[in-house]
Amino acid sequence: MNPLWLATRATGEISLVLFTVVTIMGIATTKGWASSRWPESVVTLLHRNISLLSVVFLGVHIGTTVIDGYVPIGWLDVVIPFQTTYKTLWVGLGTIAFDLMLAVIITSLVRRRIPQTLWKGVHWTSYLMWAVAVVHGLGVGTDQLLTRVLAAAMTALVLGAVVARFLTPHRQDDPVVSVTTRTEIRR
Amino acid sequence: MSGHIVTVDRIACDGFGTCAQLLPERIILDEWGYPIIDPTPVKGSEHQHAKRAVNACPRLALKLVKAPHDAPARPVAQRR
Ligand code: HEM
Ligand code: SF4
Repeated sequence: MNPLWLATRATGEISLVLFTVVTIMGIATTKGWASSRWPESVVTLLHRNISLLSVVFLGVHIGTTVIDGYVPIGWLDVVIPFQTTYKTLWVGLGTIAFDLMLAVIITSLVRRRIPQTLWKGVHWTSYLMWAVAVVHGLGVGTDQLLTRVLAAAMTALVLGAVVARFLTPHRQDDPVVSVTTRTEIRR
Repeated sequence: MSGHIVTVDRIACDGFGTCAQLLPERIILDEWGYPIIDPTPVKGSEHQHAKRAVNACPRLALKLVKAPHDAPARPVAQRR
């Protein structure tokens, strides 16, 4: 089996899992989902750091696809969608997901220097990015069973989190509990 | 670097308390989870740590700003 092709597939699946985790951690950051084992600071930092880690896997995923050369996909196809002869639609969706991801990551890295409404607007597209990436994976996936099972599992996780994101009320700490915490912190 | 203090934009703040977990030596939480911050200038050795908490704030509500001239040099007594 061609090692580059294997690497493309493996890093593709890993990227899907990582972006799923990042999406859920992002929702958890917004909603203040936390526990004593997973405090708010850990959730926020994991959201940022895993998103940067997933870029590395996505980079390998794309790099090995182009370098492999078994299917004709060039470097321009990495950023310009729907130009490939091979599975034009499905590969193009991967390109769109990558472009959206670049936008989300870059605006987040320079967040202090841009208007917050711009940052938030671009950040909202991460939901779209995740969905487009899943469809891309299902469409190009050659290992049908693994791809489908994984995509189904990740979809269930994200859908669950999205439903909870929009249907549960904004977290309101119980003041009595907080006073206790404050006394402990104050020493 | 001295001459800087940590401040919070209470309108932007989400009240989830990330900053109090990352900078407990300067920040405690009030009964609603909003930060109460030590108003004295950040000491040089603390700067790095304060910066880390500022960078982790999900709402960019926590800031390191130049201390105004009337900033207290020592912690004010805890008010009840
Ligand atoms: C350097 C990288 C990133 C940083 C610093 C960052 C930062 C943040 C912050 C601070 C929030 C919470 C916003 C709030 O509380 O109002 C958030 C939410 C979120 N992030 Fe990110 N993020 C990054 C990358 C990503 C990536 C790559 C994705 C794509 C999967 C993503 C998806 C999300 C989602 C889905 C939310 C929830 C948005 C909502 O429903 O309001 N983030 N992010
Ligand atoms: S980390 Fe930021 S948003 Fe969260 S409580 Fe502190 S100042 Fe408020």
